[in-house]
Amino acid sequence: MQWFVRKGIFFKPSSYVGWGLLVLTVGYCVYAFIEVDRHSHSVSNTLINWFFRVILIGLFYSLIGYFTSEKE
Amino acid sequence: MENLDDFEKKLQNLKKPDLMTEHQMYLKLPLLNARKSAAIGWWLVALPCFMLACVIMKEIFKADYHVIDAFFDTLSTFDRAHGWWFSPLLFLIFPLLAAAMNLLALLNVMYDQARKGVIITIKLRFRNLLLIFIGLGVALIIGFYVIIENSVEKSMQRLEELQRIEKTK
Repeated sequence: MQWFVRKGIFFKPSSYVGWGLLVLTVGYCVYAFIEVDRHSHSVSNTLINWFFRVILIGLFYSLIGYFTSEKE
Repeated sequence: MENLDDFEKKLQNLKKPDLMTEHQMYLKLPLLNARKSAAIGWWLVALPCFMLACVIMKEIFKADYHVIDAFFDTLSTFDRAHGWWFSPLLFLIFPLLAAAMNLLALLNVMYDQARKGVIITIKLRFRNLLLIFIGLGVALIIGFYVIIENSVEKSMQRLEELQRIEKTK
C-alpha cells in the first residue's frame, strides 16, 4: 500500500487514493474556513479557528501518509 | 616437487574461515524510519508548541492580543464539543508520541554475546534529537502545569471548607 511519497514534512500523493485523500483534505479545509468565517466576529478569530482545524486535519492526513508511504 | 607438497600441506592446514558474521550476533532495533518520524513529529508537536507560545506571551510577557484569546476560546469550544479526552490527547499524548517515535528511530540495541550485555547506541541526527527534546519538554511543562493547577484547586477547596466550618462554629 503506497499511496504517498514523503517530501520534507509533507506527504505527496502517488496514487489515485492518495490524490483522493488530498482532495478531501483540501475540501475540508475550504469548508472549515467558510464555516468558521460564518460564526466568527473578527478576522483574527476566523484565522485562528481555521488554523487550529487545518493543523488537526493536516496531522491526520500526515498520519495516513506516514503509514501508507513507501519505505525509505 | 617438494615445494608443491609443502604448498599442499600448507593449504590443508589452513583454518576454515568462520562463517558467523558480526551482524548475526546483535539485534538491531531501529523500529521506525528516522526521516519519516521527523516528518510526522513536526505535525504532532505543532499545536502544543503554539499553545505554549501563546501561554508564554500571555503570562510572562503580558501580551494582550486578540489572537491569543481567540485561540483559548477555540480550545474551550473543542473541549466542550469533544469531551475531556481532547486536550490531554492533543497536549500530552501527541508530544509524547512524537518523542517516542523519534527515540525509537534513533535507538540501536545490540546484544554483545562475548560480554553478555546489551549495548544501546543513539544515532546523532539533529532533527530527531530536537523533536525528542521538544516533545518531552512540552509534555513535561504541560504535565507539571496540570498537576500544580489541580493541587492548587484542591487546596483552595479545602481552605474554603475550613472557613465554612469555622464560621459554623
